[in-house]
Amino acid sequence: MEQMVQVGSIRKPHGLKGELKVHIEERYHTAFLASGVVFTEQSGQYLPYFIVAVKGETGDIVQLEEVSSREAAEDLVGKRLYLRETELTVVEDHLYETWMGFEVRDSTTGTLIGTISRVVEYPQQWMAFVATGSGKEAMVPLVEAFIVSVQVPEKRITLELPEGLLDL
Amino acid sequence: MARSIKKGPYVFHKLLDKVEKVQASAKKSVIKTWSRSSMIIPGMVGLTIAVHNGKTFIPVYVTENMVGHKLGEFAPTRSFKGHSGNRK
Repeated sequence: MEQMVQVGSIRKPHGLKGELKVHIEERYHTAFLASGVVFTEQSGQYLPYFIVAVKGETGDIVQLEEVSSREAAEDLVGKRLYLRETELTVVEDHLYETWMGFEVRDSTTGTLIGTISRVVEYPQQWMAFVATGSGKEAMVPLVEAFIVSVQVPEKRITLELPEGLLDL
Repeated sequence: MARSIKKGPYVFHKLLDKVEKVQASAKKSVIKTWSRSSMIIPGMVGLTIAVHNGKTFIPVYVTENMVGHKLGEFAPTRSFKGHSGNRK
């Protein structure tokens, strides 16, 4: 079965022609617009809906295929929206945000540094906040120079960090 | 010639000393600085400079496209977390 990722939810009907007002998380916005198909979950099954049109200044009004009346739209209110995980990998801008919860290891010693608690975009670089065992939160810039390897299935990142970075 | 060109970019002298020392050594350790107004020069590329934002040191990995900017531009002093009314 394909892996699905929740990207947002349906908020309320819009107008009388089955349009829906949706909330899409900002980091998944590009993937949502590029996908063309979105899924909702109903009794453990993922049902696909083709996106016919996206309207609104922020792209939050959506017309789905086979949803052409307000009544049909009302039935979908509150449903969570999903995209295939494979479609999200192409969005590199927000790739680092998917690394939350990954464990961070030092490449030279192999020791566990901590777990990424959050990832924040800073000017020119993404910053990982690593919760260390001592209860501190260390800031680690996610730049190519530091990243040795990323093992997504194991949720593990190996970094080569400069001396003193974890002591700031 | 404009005065700023004649005088050259401003880099705090103690920071410049630290940069030269780290570049000369094999270990590229983190350099701490409070000098947010210092300009990033080509000699800093590849180094990690921890810039103080008034509260903590923000580690900044210096890349080529940062040259000519001030260090403070990369260590924000405020973190906007949204208005309370917009929380859903």
